[in-house]
Amino acid sequence: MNSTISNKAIAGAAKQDRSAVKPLYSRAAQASPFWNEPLETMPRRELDAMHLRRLKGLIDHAYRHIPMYREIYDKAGVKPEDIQSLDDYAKKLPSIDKSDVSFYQKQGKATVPGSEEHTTFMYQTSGTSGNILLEPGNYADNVNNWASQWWAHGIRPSDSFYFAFGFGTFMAFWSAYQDALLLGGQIITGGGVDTKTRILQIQQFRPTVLIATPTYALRLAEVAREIGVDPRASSVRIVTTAGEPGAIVPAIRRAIEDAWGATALDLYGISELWGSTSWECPKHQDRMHLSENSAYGIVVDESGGLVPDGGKGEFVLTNYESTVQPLIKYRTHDIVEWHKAPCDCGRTWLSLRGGVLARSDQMVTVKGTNVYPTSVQVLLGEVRGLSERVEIHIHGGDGVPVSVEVKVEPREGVEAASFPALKAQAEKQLHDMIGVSIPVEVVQPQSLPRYELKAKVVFDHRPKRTT
Amino acid sequence: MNAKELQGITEDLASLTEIARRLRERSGIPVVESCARWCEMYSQVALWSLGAGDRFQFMDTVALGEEK
Repeated sequence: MNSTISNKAIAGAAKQDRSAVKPLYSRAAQASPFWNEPLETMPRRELDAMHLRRLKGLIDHAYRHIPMYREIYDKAGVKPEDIQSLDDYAKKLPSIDKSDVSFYQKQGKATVPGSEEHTTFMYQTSGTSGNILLEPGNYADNVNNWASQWWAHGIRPSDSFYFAFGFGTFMAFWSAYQDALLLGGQIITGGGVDTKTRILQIQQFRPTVLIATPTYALRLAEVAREIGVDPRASSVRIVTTAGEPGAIVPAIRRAIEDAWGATALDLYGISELWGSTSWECPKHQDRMHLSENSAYGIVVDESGGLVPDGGKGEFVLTNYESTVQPLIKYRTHDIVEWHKAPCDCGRTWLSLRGGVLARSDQMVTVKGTNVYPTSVQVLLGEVRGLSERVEIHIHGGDGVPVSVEVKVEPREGVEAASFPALKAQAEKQLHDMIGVSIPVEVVQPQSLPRYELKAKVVFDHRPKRTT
Repeated sequence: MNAKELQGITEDLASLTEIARRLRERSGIPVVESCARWCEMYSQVALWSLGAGDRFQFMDTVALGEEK
């Protein structure tokens, strides 16, 4: 008997027995559009009171037990009792950066001494933005963020999840795996097999939800077509992604949804924050909600001052998830636009319009104008005929003026004769929207490298500083 | 759900956490203590998810040898 027949037999048996099996959730829970209605709809004043209570407890805990915080706060002359309001938190408490955590991790001062037995997982960051950080944590630390999103978007225990992920030391979809378990869906772990085998597994197991990075979801679809499999005809109805900007970028949403004939969902995660994530609103595709169950977020300007509601700046987060290595007032370097008004989806949790708009540490100044690579990618996605596959090259430095140039693939089926017109449109779009001239090269289809996890978009060719 | 119903759920979760904690600390049977620990942790997470409880309480018992 081959495995496909075997699976059908199992599915058939399960169907026959369904009436004899109690559902995992009550009818009321099944029908709820919220994973956690009391907190997701909590009025802002109550939410803020809860945050203040949690922040005070966490800051006190960290100061008493984690040497990193005692040293940083002592150096700044701040004691836990100085933080009596959210305003105190924003204005008085020092923020920390990845370099601080890296520095103290090397001395063994970033975690609670004696917490080894409580550390049930050890992950590390992907290294996208420099130093690799260790992420020690407990099995109960990272739950509910994916589940909140999935439940809001109609994913239920009857769904099955295919994880197109290698399950290594990079946390990434480990957190999704835990939440799929928590939610009660069926889990199919692709593991370390090659892309073609994953496509065959999707055909065999017929999952309804595909979990991958946006780059890899698109790569899977591309390889499927190469081997004669139509991903649009697959069982996948939802593609849920994280790890890099995904469906929040219209061009990437369009590419994923076109490729799979499925709905694309985006989640913004920072793995060292253990699930301090925001996820796509079920009613508005242009915004994400911060999981305020897991984190408290503020937005600050370049001098660290609080940006007013509705403004743009750097997202600074405290996560409540990591019990072993909590990160308090952690600089994400992600630029967001925040809104505190309740959303008409029913949630009161912070809204981030457009998700992560840019990375502050990737900003380059060209002829006096700040240019964010992420913005370049988003703007090019608005040019009809261009694909989401983009490379942004930064040159100059050491006395040579900084310049940016862009390579972009056209969408499938676009004739080469159209390339000059596309180039002109793309350059005009960038000039009109950013204010500087950025040369664009429309390259041959399939000519930019393909990636298995995250796409490398920014190539900085400037001389590296050693000091 | 009204405030009274929510209060009832919160109280049940707090009781569950406490019962699980007692089992974890006192049973002397590894399999019971292990399962009770999972129960305790997840009932704490549920409590925390409703805006109550303390996620860091359990760490205080091991940190820096501080007496509770």
